[in-house]
Amino acid sequence: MALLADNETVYAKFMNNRPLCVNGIRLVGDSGSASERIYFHIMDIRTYTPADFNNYRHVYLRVRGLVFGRPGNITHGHPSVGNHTHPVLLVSIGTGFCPSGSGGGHSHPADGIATTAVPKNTEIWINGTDRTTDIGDPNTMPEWTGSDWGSDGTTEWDTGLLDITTYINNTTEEQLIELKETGSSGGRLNYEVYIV
Amino acid sequence: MALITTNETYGSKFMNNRPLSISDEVVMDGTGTSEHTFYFHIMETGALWDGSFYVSFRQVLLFLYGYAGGGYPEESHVHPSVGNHTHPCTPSEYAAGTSGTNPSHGHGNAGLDPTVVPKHVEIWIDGTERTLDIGNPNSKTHYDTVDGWGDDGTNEWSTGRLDITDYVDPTVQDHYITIKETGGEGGRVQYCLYIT
Repeated sequence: MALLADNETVYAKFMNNRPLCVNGIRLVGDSGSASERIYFHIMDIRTYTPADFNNYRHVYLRVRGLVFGRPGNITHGHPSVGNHTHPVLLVSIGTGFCPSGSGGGHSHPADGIATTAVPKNTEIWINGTDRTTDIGDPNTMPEWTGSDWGSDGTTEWDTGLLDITTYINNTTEEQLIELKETGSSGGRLNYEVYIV
Repeated sequence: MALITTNETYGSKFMNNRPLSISDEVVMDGTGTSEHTFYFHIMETGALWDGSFYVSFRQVLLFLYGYAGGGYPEESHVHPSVGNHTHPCTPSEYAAGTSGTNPSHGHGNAGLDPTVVPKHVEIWIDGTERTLDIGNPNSKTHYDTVDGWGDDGTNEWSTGRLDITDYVDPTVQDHYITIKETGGEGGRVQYCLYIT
């Protein structure tokens, strides 16, 4: 954000600071403790009084839970170990972990790869505090469980635009959002932060 | 950055140029030679700006964060029937060690522990190392005055706001920053770059 002189009016500050967008995609594991951090900064925040910031600026967040995270576990037979389960890895079957041919005579089935997993029971933490239920589901979106995002680990979800202005620290420039997947599903999270 | 017409005053150029934000999270592989480069462009440099004005009125700011949770590094280990082989080791697989869901695979190379934090991270700008030139202006902890950011591989760190304007060539639009992890730990680095 532009660094503005202290003697500018609040309106001028508002008009001269353009929207800032921070977005990205994160793959999340299925450990149940995956926490993805999003740092962003509101450079001009020190030129506002906290009240002015809350009155004239807004910070919005939108998060989507999508399929195809890290491939999940498969169960298969192994010539010496017997039936066992392990994660299918980020390589093509037959070329990576326990490849068919060099893998002691065992191969990985193509099916059973949990590429359909969607993040489940995902929480939104802002500056170290869980704000999931404080923010709630103002857009009445499906897959809101009543306490977090992603109800079943298979259906994709979208929070819609969430106004998180009141949960931003309006006295410091550094802000942190954490997306915590607690449902042990894994998958992909797409996030967008807008400062307008 | 907005593309500005040549008949605007410097003042209006300053006021009318939007802040540019680039951010992402990168995973260090723990080899000690892991590096990530990101490119950015200052559109109005060159024809529309002279260097002295740019340095006087614009700022290029960088924030870095080092924390744990490195992705899926390659791990060499012994397989009961395959023998030595290498594949990406996921955090959950790492955690399983030798007694989890993958009983006969000796995962557990300490150097690939997903709890480690990037160590001795250097900042290179347009091909030149600037780590010590930039230094630690915010007196943050876990800055090594010889080797850069992250002093022990276990404590998370953040640089705070680093003004790198002086190290960005104001006469060309094409720039790149390389983040190098030389401590051989791994982990994640998040960067936030602002052109204000």
